[in-house]
Formats: sequence, C-alpha cells, structure tokens
Amino acid sequence: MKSITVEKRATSGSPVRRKYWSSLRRMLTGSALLSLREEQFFLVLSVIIGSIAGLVVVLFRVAISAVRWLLLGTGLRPDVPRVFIAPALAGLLIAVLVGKFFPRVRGSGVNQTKGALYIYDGYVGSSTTIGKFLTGALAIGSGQSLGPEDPALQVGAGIASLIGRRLRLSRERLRLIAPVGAAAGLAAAFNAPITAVLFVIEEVIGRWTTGILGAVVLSAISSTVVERWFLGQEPLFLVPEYHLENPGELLAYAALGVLGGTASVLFVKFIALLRPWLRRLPPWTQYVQPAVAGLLIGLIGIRFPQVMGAGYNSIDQAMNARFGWEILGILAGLKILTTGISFASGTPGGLFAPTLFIGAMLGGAVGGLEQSFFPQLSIPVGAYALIGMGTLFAGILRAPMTSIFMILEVSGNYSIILPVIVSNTVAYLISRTFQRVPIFDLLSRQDGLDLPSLEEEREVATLRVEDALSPFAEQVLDGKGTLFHALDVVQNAKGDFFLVQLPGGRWAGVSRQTLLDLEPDGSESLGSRLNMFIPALYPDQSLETALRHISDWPFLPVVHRADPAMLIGIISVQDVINAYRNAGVEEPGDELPPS
Amino acid sequence: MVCGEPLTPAGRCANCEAAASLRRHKLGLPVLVLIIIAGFSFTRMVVDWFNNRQDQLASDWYQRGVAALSSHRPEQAVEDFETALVYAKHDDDEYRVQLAESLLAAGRPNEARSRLLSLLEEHPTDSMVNLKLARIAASRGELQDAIRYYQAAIDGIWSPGKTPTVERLNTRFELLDVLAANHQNELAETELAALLPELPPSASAHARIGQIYLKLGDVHRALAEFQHARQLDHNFVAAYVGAGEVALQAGDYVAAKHYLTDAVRLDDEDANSRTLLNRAEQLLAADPFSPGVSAGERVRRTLAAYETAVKRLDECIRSCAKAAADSRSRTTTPEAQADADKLAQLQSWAEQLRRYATEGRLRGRDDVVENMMRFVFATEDAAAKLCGAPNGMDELLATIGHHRWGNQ
Repeated sequence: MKSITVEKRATSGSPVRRKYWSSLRRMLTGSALLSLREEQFFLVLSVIIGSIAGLVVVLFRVAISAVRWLLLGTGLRPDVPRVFIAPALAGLLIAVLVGKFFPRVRGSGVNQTKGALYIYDGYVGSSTTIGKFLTGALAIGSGQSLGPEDPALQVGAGIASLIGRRLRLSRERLRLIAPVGAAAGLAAAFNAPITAVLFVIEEVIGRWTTGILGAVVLSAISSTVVERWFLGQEPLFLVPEYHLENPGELLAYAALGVLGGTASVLFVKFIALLRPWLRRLPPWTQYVQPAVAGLLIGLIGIRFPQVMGAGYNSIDQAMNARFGWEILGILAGLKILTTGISFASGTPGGLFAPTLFIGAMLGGAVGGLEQSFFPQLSIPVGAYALIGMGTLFAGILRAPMTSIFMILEVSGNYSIILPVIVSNTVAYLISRTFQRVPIFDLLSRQDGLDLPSLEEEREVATLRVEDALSPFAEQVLDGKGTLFHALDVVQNAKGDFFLVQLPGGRWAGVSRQTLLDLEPDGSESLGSRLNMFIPALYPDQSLETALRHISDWPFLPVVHRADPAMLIGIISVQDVINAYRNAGVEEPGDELPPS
Repeated sequence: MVCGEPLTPAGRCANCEAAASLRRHKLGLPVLVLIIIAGFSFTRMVVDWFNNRQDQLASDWYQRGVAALSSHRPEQAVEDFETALVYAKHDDDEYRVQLAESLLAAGRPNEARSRLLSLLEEHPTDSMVNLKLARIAASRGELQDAIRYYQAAIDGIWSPGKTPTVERLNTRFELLDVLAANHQNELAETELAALLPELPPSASAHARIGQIYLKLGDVHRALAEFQHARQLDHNFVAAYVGAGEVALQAGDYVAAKHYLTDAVRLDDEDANSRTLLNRAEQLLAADPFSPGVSAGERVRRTLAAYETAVKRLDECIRSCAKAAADSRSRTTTPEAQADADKLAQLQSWAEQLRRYATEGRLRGRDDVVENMMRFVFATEDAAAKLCGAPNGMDELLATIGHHRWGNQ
C-alpha cells in the first residue's frame, strides 16, 4: 500500500519529480543500463574491471604474506634453516609449475601485457592469469628478490581480457581492455593510481587517446578504492617531511642522479647478460634455475634478510635512517645481484619493487655519505632514499614522467619536485647513453617478440607540412576574374592543375580540361563558376594530417595561419613521400617487420 | 533492408548487429555485478582473517619486545618492536614509543630520535614524545632543544592512561633537574617561580623542590623545603634524608646525624639514609672541631689527622718522583716543577709541625691545632689534585677541611 502511495505522489507531482521517479524506475529495472551508449558502457565496464582486479590484487597481497609466514616465519630476520631451505624448495616448485602448467608466466608481466595489446588482440589466457597469481605469490612470499606490482599488472590485464572475451567485445575493444585491467592491477598493488595510469600510458599503450584514458583512469581509481577499503588507507611508505632549504642541495641530488644512472646501467646490463646465458644452458636446467636462484638468495639472506622478497619494510627503514650508509650501499649492491639472479632464472615476479629498493638504499647511502662529509647540507637521509627510488625508476624502467609523479604521489609532498626532476633526469640521460635499449624492450627482443619500443616512438621526430612543401610554380588564378582571363593564363602555363584564390581566404582547384570545358561567359567571375573547394593546410600541421586531406587532389595549397589568402607553397603525396625518405624515419605505427 | 541501413556481406543490417551485440554485452553486466558481490564477500572473509592474524602477530611481537626490554636485552627488543610495527595497523604509536625506548636503551639515540621525530610530526602536541625527545637532547648536551621539548611536553597532551597534573609536575621537576645539572641557575629560578604556586601541598613535592635547591647550591632554601615536607608528613623519610644531606653539605654534621638517625628510624631498610648516616658519624668522629668535643679528644683527633696527612704526602711525593723518573722527557716542565715545589713546601710545613706532634705539646695550643689542621687540609687538597682522589680517612679530612676553610 505504501509503495502505491509513493508512486501516486510521484506521478502526480512536478515534472522534475516525475523525471526523477522515472529515472529511478529505469535504474531499478535495468533499462537505464540497456540505454547506455557504447562509450558509456565501456566506462562502466572499466569500473567493474577495476573493482574485480582490486579484489584479486588484495587476495594476491594476502597470499604473498601468508606464503611468507608459512615458509619464512613471521619475524623480520627469519631462522637460518628456513632462509636456506624455503626459497630453494619454493624455486623448485615454481619451476615445475612454470614448466608444466603455466609456461607464459615467466618474467615481470609488463611485456606480456604489451604483447596482448600489440600481438594477441588483447588476449591474456586465463591459465596465465591464474599461474601468475600462484607462482608470483609463491616466489615473492618465499623470498625471491622480486616485486608484486608487475605480476599484479598482468593479472589485472588477464582479468580484463577474460571479461572482454566473455562479453564478446569487438576486436578493437578487446585490444584496449587489457591495458585497462593492467592499470587497475598496478594501481591496487602499488596503492598509487596516478603512477599506474601514467605507467600504463607511458609504457604499455604509448599514446594519450581520449578513448582509452577515461577507462584507464576509472579502472585504476576503482581498484585503488577497493584495495584501500580492504587493506586500509596507510601509504606504502612512511615518508619523512622534507623541504628544499637551499638550491645548492640540488647538486647533491645531481650526484645521486649520476650514481643512480650508473647503477641502473649496471643492473640492466647484468640482466641483459645473465638471462640469455641461463637460457642457453640445457633445457633441463630450466627446472633447477629458480631453485638455485632461491638457494643463492637464501645464502645472502642469512646475513642480509632485507634483500629477500619485495623489501618494502626495508625501504621504510631506509627512509627513517635505520641503517648506516655502509649497510645501505651493501644492500643496494646485493639487491642488484639477487634481483638479477631471480629475474634471469625465469622466476615470475616484478622489477618495480626491487627498483625502488635499490633506489632507496642507494639514495640513503649517498645521503649518509654526504651527511658525514658535508654536514652543512643537512638534508635528511630519508629524503635521499625517497628521491633515490624515483631516480632508479627513471634509470631502470625508463619511464621518466611516471618516475616523477610516482614520488610526488608516494610522498604527497610537492616541494620535493625539483630534486626529483634533477636526479631523475640525470639518471635517465646516463642510462640512455650507456644502455640504449630500455629493459622491457631488451627483454621482449630476447624473447623473440618485436614489440614497439615506446621510448623510441616518443623520440621519432614528427614531420610537418613545412618539411615537405614545395613552391607553386604556376600563377594562381584569381577567383574574382573572368573565365577569359583565366584561360589566358592557363594557355601559357605548363601544369594541368591550378589553384584559384577565392574571396575570404578560400581556395579552389581546377584542372586545365575543366577550364576548357566551361562555357565562356563574360559577366560571371571564375569563382562563381567553380564548385570545387580545396582544403588548405598550414605549415605546422603534421604530414599525417596532410595525407588525410590530400585524397584525390594532385596537391593542396599551404597557407599562412594569420592570412589564409597568402599561399606559402603546395604539398603533394610525392612531396610527403620524399620528406619521409629524406628524413630517414618510418612513420609511427608503420614499422616494418624484421627482415 | 531490415533497418533502412546498408547490409553486411552476410546480408545482415550492420547497425542492428552492433546494437544487438551491445545489448548482449550489457546483459552480461548484472552477472559481473554478482561476481563482484561474491568477490567482495570472499575477500572480506580472507582479509578479516588476515587482519586478525596481523593483529595477533603485532601483539605477540610487542609482548616479546616488552619482555626483552625488561630483561635488559634492548637489541632484541628493538628487533621485536620493529617486527610488531610491521604488523601493527592500529595504535602503533605506543609500539613506536617503545621502539624508541629500546633504541635508547641499546645506545642508539640517533635512531631513537629519528623515530620520535617522525612521531612528533604526526602528533606535535604529544607530551610523551616530547618528553622522550627532551631526555635525548639532555643526554646529548643539547640544552636549548631539551628545554624546548620539556616545555612542549609540559604544555602538551598526555595519553589517556596518564594523570596530566602529575605528569606535568614530574616533567617540571625533570626539567629543573636538567637545568640544575647544567648550572642554569637563572632559568631554574624562573621555572621554580612558575612551579611553586602550582605545587601541591604534599611532602614529596616539597622534598623534590628541596633536592633541586640542594643541586642549585641553595642550602638554606633546600633545608626550608625539607623542613616544610617534614611538617606536612612527619613520617616522610625523604624529607629527613634531604635535610640530612643539606646539613652534611653545610658541614653541620651534628644536625645531619640527627636527621639521618630519624630517617633510619623511620625506615631502617633505606640504604641511602644508612649510608649518609654512617658518613655523618664518621665525619663527626674525625672532626677535631665538632661541638662538644673535649680538649684532649680534639688534640688526639688533630694528631691522627696530622699523621694521616703526612703519610698521604709521603706517598704522593714518592709517586710523583717515580712518575718523573719514568718519564722519557729529561726536561722538567714548569707545571711539574710547580707541583714539586708545592709538595716540597708542604713537606717543609710538616717538618715545622713535627715538633708539636705530641699530645703534651699540643694541649692548650689552639693556634697550633688550627695550623696543623690547615696543613692537613692543604695536603689533602694538593694530593687530591696531584695524586688522585682521596678515600677513607683522607677523604673525610678533605671534606672537613673544605667545610671549614672552603677553597682557601
């Protein structure tokens, strides 16, 4: 009875109220859902993917902790027998799981997600997703020197891919949905949605398109909300307060950038050498490599347990000046060694956390050293550790924008931006100079996958109309003049196609034959006889834009932006081809397969 | 031409097919929502278990840390509290304070300070954190920082388990102790002026003030406070002990013995008052100028003091000569020469007094008694400077001399 009364009131009320009740009814009956347009539907789907990915990543993190408690105990310094045995035994089990059941879960997961986007039409197999969850949790929980972020990224992509396939999304949507899930997975694992969005845009998708950006942002936010709802609002690290007191401090951060860049090069080269070497060993060794890696890490872990696992607690301790600079330096060196061993052995796990660990330790060591020798600088060691994380991120993962925003997001401190930019840029430049191929591109090439190098793409110079235009040799016909006058001009000209300047800065194009076919009329202007307007281009527009507009015209006029009536030159298809040929670059997206 | 749009090669309407596909996608959404609901329920269950386990682990490791700290294993306590902090999600401030406490106990004040500073950033008005930082600063000799933190602790907020008035009073006393130890008498006077109006009418509070005056060297006000404390509570041992200490410091051994005897009577298990009483009795027994001492006894005590001082002087001369002989340097420094001259003068003085060093010759010669005791004090004073701190009878004589003649 009550609901009837409510409905009566609603329907008999004002138009606004009627509209409200109508919307509510539609929501409740699901008809609102059915009236969504495709773009809106995709955004709703992104939120759902983000939520599910968030849930799975929460379970992933719980699983890693549970495995650690089970295998290594609950103390910060595990008992010696456990440290010695657990990683090795877990490595053996991981090798069997990877070798027999989940062969595609090796490595970090970033390249696999890129592969899904560029090669497999968004397909990430369900067994890969499950396998990554299980083997990742086992590897990281047992102390292998790897992180959970990249696996979470791949698991998120896998979930998105599965949902996309179940809903039978179009090929185009299915291809885009994997990065949406990847952003969700990374955001939940790292508790940093901005970093996740930037990383996926910078390293996986490689371009800012409005179609995908909204979906990526929504999925990252929804997964972070889910993760925080379950695991709390606490940040990943307890970051010390920091303010740039003296611009001279930037020199210290530049020094950190130099050291961080050098360490990045060493780390990438170590993996670049060790990984193919291990792969060249007899196939049966694939089953023992993770175990041997675990054994070696266990041996190191007896004295330095900090290097085992993701190492977030140690990063936190480094930021709070818990270690002396000597220990910090040793830990940074050992982490490079252990992560290289773990990763090259094919153990599933990520490079994010180890990168941050190495950066924090190295930064802390530099901070400690500088405090010893230059006490007047008075920069807290924690600030160095924090900036060191971004430095190594820029140097190893070569995602410069992400590295800067990651530190801002993690620290919540805007005043740290200058030191971060200085240190990251120095490290990035050093890394690029001495290690030309970024780590993810290097790994994909070692795996025989020719994924597009997003760093190389970013650096491809965009050719513009001004790079290709040529002067117009013929006389421009005046649209206000008569046909007779135009025919006079054409008679003495060599070309077969002519530009006609119309009033208002518009242009028309006309062929010699069309002009000759027109019936002469002394009273009408040439412009009024023509209905073939031609698009004009500006010198700063890209050649890609020019190609879109040229279509059936032999050439297009290039005009001044401030004065569309002023002809600067013309551009033809041949001009564009010549410009690309002269520049010696391929057009983005048109890479040729390796010969 | 079903929908008035172009057909696909298969003869179907392209737009209608797309619309049908989109409708099919949307029908999948409720299923996904159900999956999310089920996923939330399952994850909630798992995370609840996880959180409970973490809470349990945090509590266990915290208890281990407390046990380690109380059994004087601070390094172990540090590790235990750090582990507890890894698992602690709630109320970890207490864990962090305990960790800082352990770090301090482990002789790692820099780390303790760093931990406390990060806590202070989050809770700038937390009195306990400020108090601990003040203690670290005081131990490092950073007096200004110590004063600032003590003041912040006094003005700050105490945790619910504490009684703010009591804690504030104790913190003020602690600050006064630090000021007195650092000879900041003016600042201490200012603090005392602020404290005295708020001082509760309790014997313990007045006794504490008396102790502070004692450290500041103001024996009169110290004695007044101890006596006030005695009036407030006749059985308050600390007041008697304090008064005894004041009397000892003032050289009034009789009064000291009186107060300390009362203290021991009130609590005969108090080791401090018993020790002080013994000392007062020894000083009384050794001092030739004690009130009520007969002339004969004064002579006997003076002769005993003289013999003790001569013996100390001979030992000191021998050790100085040996040190000079052992020294590789063949050249004598001016300081060494001055020391040798001083000892030689004292030896000469002892020789001059030697002929009076019998009871018969000394009886009735108060001037010689006075001179002999001056010699005793000068010898003990010089020997303390040149040959190490005195002990036993030498120390008692030095104290008596100090009380009688000061730094003459």
